[in-house]
Amino acid sequence: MSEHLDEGVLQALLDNELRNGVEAATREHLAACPICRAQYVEVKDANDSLASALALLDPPLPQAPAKMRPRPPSMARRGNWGRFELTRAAAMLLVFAAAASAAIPGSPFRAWLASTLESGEVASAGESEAIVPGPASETAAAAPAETGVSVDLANGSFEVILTEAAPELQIRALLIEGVRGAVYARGDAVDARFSTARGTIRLDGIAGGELRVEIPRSADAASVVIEGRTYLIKDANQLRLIPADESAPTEVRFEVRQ
Amino acid sequence: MTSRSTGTGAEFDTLYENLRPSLWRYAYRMVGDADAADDVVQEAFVRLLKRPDLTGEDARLWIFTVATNLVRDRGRTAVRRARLLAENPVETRAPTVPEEEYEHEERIAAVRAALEQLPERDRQLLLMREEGFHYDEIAEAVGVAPGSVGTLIARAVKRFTGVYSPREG
Repeated sequence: MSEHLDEGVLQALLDNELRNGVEAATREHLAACPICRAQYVEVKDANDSLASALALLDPPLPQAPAKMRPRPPSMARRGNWGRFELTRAAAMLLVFAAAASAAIPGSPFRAWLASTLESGEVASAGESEAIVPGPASETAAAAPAETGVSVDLANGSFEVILTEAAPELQIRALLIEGVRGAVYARGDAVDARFSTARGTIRLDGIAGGELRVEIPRSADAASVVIEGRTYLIKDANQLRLIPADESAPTEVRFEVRQ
Repeated sequence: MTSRSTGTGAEFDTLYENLRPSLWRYAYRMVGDADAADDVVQEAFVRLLKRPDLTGEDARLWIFTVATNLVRDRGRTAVRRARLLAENPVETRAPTVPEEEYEHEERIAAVRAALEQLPERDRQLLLMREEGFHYDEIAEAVGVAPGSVGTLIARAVKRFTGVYSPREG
């Protein structure tokens, strides 16, 4: 009779760390052994619980001002290794933003975003994992606030989960080069609550506005799920909208760019 | 070893841009304080500057190990500071916050409390895994056999879920 799989093997399977045919043999065993299958589900559930918990812990990370960055001695300005008030203030705002919903009007987090936009400090989209100000509008004088976050893929997968989304929400989805998935929010959508886990970006409480979903071409799989229903998937090298159920309520407007 | 100052600067900039967000998140999850995470990350990168021989994945693993050691050192200092504060308590007025915000803070506190109950090695295992390190890299950083990492992580996850009590609203 086959032995049962130990927890280390199941964990390694979940983490995609089994090599050299061991994965295939393990999956074969799981297919035939209900006891090990049940244990695998337990391991997966526990890992999902951990991932969700850790995602709660993450406040938005502001883009580090260039002057904060350590420089090689030949490039350093004299005595310029200390922290700056902007960064300390931003760090304090991180804690505030983690504790408070960004929906609070006049919240310092939004004020910080606005002032950062005005100062011209913008992130390179898809390069930093953070809540960062997005690219400034070309009509710069009245540039709307934009916020966003990017994540690494999880085993080649990227998922965007939206809940409590207003029907007037507009979503632009596009394929990009690079290896990270991202979501940027404008208008009323900046008030949404962001949370992340590896390969996943979640927004709750989206009052309207616009989202831009950037899906790496390198992703093996990607989806946009709204209120538990999948609206968009990555199918090979294309993005595909899933046809609406005729009985579904008001459709969220999608614009898709390949 | 030769180095060109501009090349060294550009390479360091690239490392900084690529590693900082992940390192900051790791440090923040380890210490639970944004200011402290800033300090750890800043110091780790200052030390990386002194190692121009490290690039790519070697630099990534090295700097995470350095950050872990810095967090450990801060922990020892924090214990001393906590003792001092206990002897000289500072009275604070609890702020009034909306209920939703309070519940969110409670959930965060529950996660933080669960993490702090784990042995330091468990935290390092779990958080490095969350940052995408492979088992062989985690084994090298933690100082265990690669073949044992799966079991160690499984047990760490179990310990976390055993002590984690999400506070429901």
